Parts: sequence; C-alpha cells; structure tokens
Amino acid sequence: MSHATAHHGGSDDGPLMAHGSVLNLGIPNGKIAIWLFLASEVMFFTGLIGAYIVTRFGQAPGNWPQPHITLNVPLTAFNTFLLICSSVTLVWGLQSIQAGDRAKGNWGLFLTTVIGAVFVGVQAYEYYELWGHRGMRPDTNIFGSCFYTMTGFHGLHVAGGVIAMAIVTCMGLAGKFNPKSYAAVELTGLYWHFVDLVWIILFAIVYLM
Amino acid sequence: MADKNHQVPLWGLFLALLALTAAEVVLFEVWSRNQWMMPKYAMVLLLLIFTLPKAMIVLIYFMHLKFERPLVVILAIVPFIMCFVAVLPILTDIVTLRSDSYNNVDGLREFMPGSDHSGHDEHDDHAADDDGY
Repeated sequence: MSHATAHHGGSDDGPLMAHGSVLNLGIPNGKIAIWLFLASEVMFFTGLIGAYIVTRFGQAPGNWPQPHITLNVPLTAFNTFLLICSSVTLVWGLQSIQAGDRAKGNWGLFLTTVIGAVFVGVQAYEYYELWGHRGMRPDTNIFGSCFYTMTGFHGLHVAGGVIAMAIVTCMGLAGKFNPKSYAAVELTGLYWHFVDLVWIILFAIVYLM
Repeated sequence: MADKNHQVPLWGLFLALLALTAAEVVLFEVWSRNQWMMPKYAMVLLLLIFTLPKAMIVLIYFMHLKFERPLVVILAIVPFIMCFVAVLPILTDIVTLRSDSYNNVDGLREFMPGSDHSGHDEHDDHAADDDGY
C-alpha cells in the first residue's frame, strides 16, 4: 500500500474521502473522471452499434432500405464535415489558450459552440424531412427504430456538448482561462472529441453501409 | 491535453480528415450507382479502411493520447478493446439470422413443451389450454 493510501491522517496527501485519502497517480482527478465516463460511453455506444450491425447484416439482401435512397447522404456528409471542423476549432482554441493568446482561444471555443449548434440544427432538419415528408418514423420498420435510436442518442450527446461548450465559452470570455489554468476546456474537449469520434463511426455504419 | 503543451499538426490532420470523409462519400456514391463494380462486403471493407484512420486521428491526436501517461492510455484503450471483443461473438448471430435458423427448432424438440425432458407434464399443458392459453 502506498504512503498516500496508508496515511489516514491525510494532512499532506490531498483531501480525504470517506474511506481514506485520494490516490496520487500524478494525473488530475478530473482527467481520470472524464476518461472513466468516456469508457462507460464507449460501452453504451458499442451496445447500440453492435446490435445494429447484427440486425442490419443479418437481413437477407433486399430486406434493408438502401441508405442513399432513404437518407440524405450529402446533407449528412456536410454535417460530418461540420463536426470535424468543430474538433479542429476546439484544438485550435485550446492551443491558443496554452500559448497565452486568450482572444484566439475564445474564438476557438465560440466557433466550436456555434458549429456544434448548427450540427444539431441540421440533424433536426433531417429528422423533420424523414419524419414529416418521407414518413419514416421509429415504428415504421426496424431500420427506423435503429436509425432514430442511434442518431438520436448521439444528437442528445452533441446537444449536451453544445451546452457544456457554451458554458466553457462564457468562462473564457470572463477571463477564467490562462496558460496555467485551462482544465475545463481540456475536459470538455475530451468529451467533444469523443462525440466526434462516435459520429465518424456512426456515419460510416448507418449512412454508408 | 497531456501534461505538457504538445502542438499537433492541426491543419494537416484537418485536411486528412476531410480527404478521408470525401473519399468515403465518393466511394459510396459511385458504388451505389454501379453496384456491379464490387460486392457489398468489399465496399464495407473499403469504408472501414477509410473510417478507422479517421477515428485513430481523433483518438490519438485530438484527444492527445499520444502524449498522455501510460495509465491514461490504458484507461482509454481497454474499453475499446473489451467492447470489440464483446461484439465479436454476437457477430455470429448474423449467420444465424441469414440462415433463418432461429426459427429452426428441430434440434430443440426435446426441450419443447410436452416433451419428456421439458420439465412440464401433460397435465400442466392441458390445464393451460383450459385457461385459454
């Protein structure tokens, strides 16, 4: 047992928890927490994607809608482009903050928030077109239920990310970040990039296969 | 997002992601209009070849795993490996569904209601019938 865990007096080893002191792994607690959260998210989306793959490829040929006929692939490709752009602007913003350029950093955060919001808007428009005009609803067929479940949960994640990015942007505008203090940007960024990563996979699997 | 401020080749990665996405869409659009060109599974494999590098770029560079401490890398990679391993066995269900053998109960007759090994006796089955089931 390390000194840190054995030391229940805990004056120099960081804050005490109910059952002892915090392990000192040399990694910020926030970073460990966000990676554990992302690990749970990996399992969540793997469940959805795994079920979809089995359902989709288990169908006999001709029993599954053709994506390029049913879905608006060019529009979604544009949405994919948007999400990639948002990841780039976020990295640009973070690097600017780390370099001490607060104005560029704030622009990076702001652009990320706006692009993320546009992504959600485009997805809402896609749903409106599919549901309202093409009559594809979750109860239409198993493709509909799979499609809305997977893209819907991802869209909710993006919407949550937009809210988080908006808060971080406001913090940036309030001057909360500098080259030595930018944990909120870093942790929110990890979540944002993960959502981007999931979309890259979903786009290929749902829209192109 | 590691301990030191590592700069990533941002614009090069951006262009790589765009090029790979464009290649995916072009491949799909061309294939969907000329499906005689190659079988579906070949197209799926090609799409995976384009998709995986994109995912790796985001994971390694944008999420800074390349510059992280080993513990964080393990924390990040293990769930992906475990999920990949977990999905592999259920992929066999694709074959089951394709062959329609999930409806095939020939090999399960002895476990069906009414058989000697089913754990139900005839009396229970008749009782269920009487109840309208």
